[in-house]
Amino acid sequence: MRTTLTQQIQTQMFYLDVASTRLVEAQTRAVSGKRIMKPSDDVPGTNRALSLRTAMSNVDQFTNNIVVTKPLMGATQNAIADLVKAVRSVRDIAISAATPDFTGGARDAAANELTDILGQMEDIANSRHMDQYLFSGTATDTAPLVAQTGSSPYSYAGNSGTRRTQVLSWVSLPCNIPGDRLFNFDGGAGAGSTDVFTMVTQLRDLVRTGTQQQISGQLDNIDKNLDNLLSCSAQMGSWSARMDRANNVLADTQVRLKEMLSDTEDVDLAKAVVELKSQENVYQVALSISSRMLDLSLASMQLT
Amino acid sequence: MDILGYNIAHANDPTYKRQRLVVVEGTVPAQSQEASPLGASPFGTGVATGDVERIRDTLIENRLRTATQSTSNWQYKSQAMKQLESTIGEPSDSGLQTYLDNFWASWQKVATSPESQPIRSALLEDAGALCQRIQYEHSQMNSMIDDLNLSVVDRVNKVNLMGEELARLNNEIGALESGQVAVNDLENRRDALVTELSKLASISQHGEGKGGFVISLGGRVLVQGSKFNPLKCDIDTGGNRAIRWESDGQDVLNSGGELKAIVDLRDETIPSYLSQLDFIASTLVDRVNAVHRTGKTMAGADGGDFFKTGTTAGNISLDDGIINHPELIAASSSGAIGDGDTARALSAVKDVPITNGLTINQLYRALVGDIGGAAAIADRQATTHQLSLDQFTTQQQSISGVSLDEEMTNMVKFQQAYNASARMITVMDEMLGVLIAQTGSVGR
Repeated sequence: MRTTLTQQIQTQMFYLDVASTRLVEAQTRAVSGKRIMKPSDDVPGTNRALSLRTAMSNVDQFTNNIVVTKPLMGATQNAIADLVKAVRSVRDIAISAATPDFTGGARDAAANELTDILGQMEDIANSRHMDQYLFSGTATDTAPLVAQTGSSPYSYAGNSGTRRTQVLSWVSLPCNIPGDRLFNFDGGAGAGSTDVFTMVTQLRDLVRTGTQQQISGQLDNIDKNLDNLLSCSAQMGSWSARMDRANNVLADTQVRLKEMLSDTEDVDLAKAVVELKSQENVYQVALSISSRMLDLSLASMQLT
Repeated sequence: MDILGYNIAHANDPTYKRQRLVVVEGTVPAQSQEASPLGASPFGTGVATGDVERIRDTLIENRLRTATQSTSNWQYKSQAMKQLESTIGEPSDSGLQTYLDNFWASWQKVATSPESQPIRSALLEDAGALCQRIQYEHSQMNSMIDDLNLSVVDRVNKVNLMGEELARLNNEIGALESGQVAVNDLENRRDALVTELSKLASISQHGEGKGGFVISLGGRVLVQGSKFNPLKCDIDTGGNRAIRWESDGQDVLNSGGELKAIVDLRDETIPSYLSQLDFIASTLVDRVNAVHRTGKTMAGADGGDFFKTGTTAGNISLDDGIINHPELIAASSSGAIGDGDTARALSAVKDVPITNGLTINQLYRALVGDIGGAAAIADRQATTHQLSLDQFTTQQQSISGVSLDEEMTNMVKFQQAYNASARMITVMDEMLGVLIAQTGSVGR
């Protein structure tokens, strides 16, 4: 083939261009550490990277939900445990009061203690976490107990709503127990049971003036309420355990997603450096060949 | 030797086509044959210089122009797609996907702490940022369309300038005789212009001669001889620039070159992305509003619109009522303040399929995939066409380019021939000298 100067130069320019473009690409990859700089670098890879980012954002948010909810659940669990303790001591008083030698000063002391316990229980029931009432259902801006006159000392002002927290994309867990159920305002503890506060006031009145039979007659109500509280506590415990498990799943998922995203988006640095080095060599060879070839011409030959 | 020097001088001019002197047998004038005392010479009258011709291959030149046309078309597209890609800025932590993710996550935050005013405000911030990002991408695409319209005007002006110059060159070429160096130079210039022109539009050249030189565009004559039919840019009903013939206002049927790439991008590619973005935005508005209206505000009232209804990508924004009023976010389904069920349902809108089983997130990813795919194709096509263009350029240079080695060799060849001719004259002179100076002594 006939070769001409321009043709020779154009061909050399073309290969120099190719070599320098590849060099720059290898350089950018090595410096940025990213394999995908723009969608067209790898279309399916970009799609994967975007969904992985969304998945990671979800996992972050679920982890965050758990972080926010756990203290609330912890506070609720503690409050229920305190309540259980209080009802246990009520039960102890009831048992010790249901004896024939329970008289005079002992009766007054027991009644006073019961009044104290009632006050404690009210405090527990109205306890708050971050300005939110724990036992008002979802009406967290309302105190659950409202004092009233009549047979029961308090009425329930909250609702029976359940707060739920999303912990995995397919699981949302309840994280509160509404007061009507916990304090047995709804009578769910069993037939003949009253709410815990009425229970304590009834017992107090009987401790002051009632007979041994009347006092021991209250034990059934107390046991029912205690069982109810314990079952609520167990329920909170199991939700809390499930939340912990979900947290572990999320942590594992997060690590896996990060790895996958890195596999999709990032370059293998060792590979990138080797690639850069080899492109550098190619470019250098292209340069030195070009400079040699351009020297060759009949016009520059020395005639000897 | 003159032409040789001219060739060497133009060795680095890519548009130059090497020239050769055509040497012809000398012709003998009829009357001088009889006048010659010796009668007709059996060797003729030596050689005469004929035309100076350009060495070229029109087939390869035509292919070169076709390749130029498709290369510049794809290169333009590839450039524009790169610009679009940088507009959407994916995959990164600053693309629309991140804004969407933040938006959905904010609903989860509100669902978990529906009583918290700051978290509600943060949701409004995130939603506002999402709106701005969508609007930004929309306006970037729109301004690309505006830029493309400017490019149309620019390219049409270029076509007109080149067309005028072609007509002028044709006029000059017609005034001169063919086969002269001056004409060859003009013709080289004309060839270069036609190649430049083929970068812009799908032109084809027919004929070579004085009046027969025709450049046609979309089935109509752009340049014929020294006549030129200019183009113009009108503003059509859509506000875009339409390319028309100035003479009768008909649309120009252009099927290649940069102009075609510009019009394709402006009328098809970018509008299709815009409508996808619009669909994503309006779906987001509709779906979020529909769920939001089922909820209750912090005060227990019925929820209103979250986004302004009826908005699309260009003007998506929060509903006027809800801006600066985080308490109006309807996070609750029962009206109780600690209830975040509606907020949770809103964060689940992202998992609800809209069309063909695709969710809003997936629709956006599809848009990114479309842009990336189109950019990748344009880039590959530009490279491929550039390769074939390079090939044709090489071939064309192989035929028409100046080879210094060849010219050097020729130089030595002509020098030798010249030396030989000179030697011939010396020998003739010596022979005459013998005849005159050394024969006989009469008259001495």
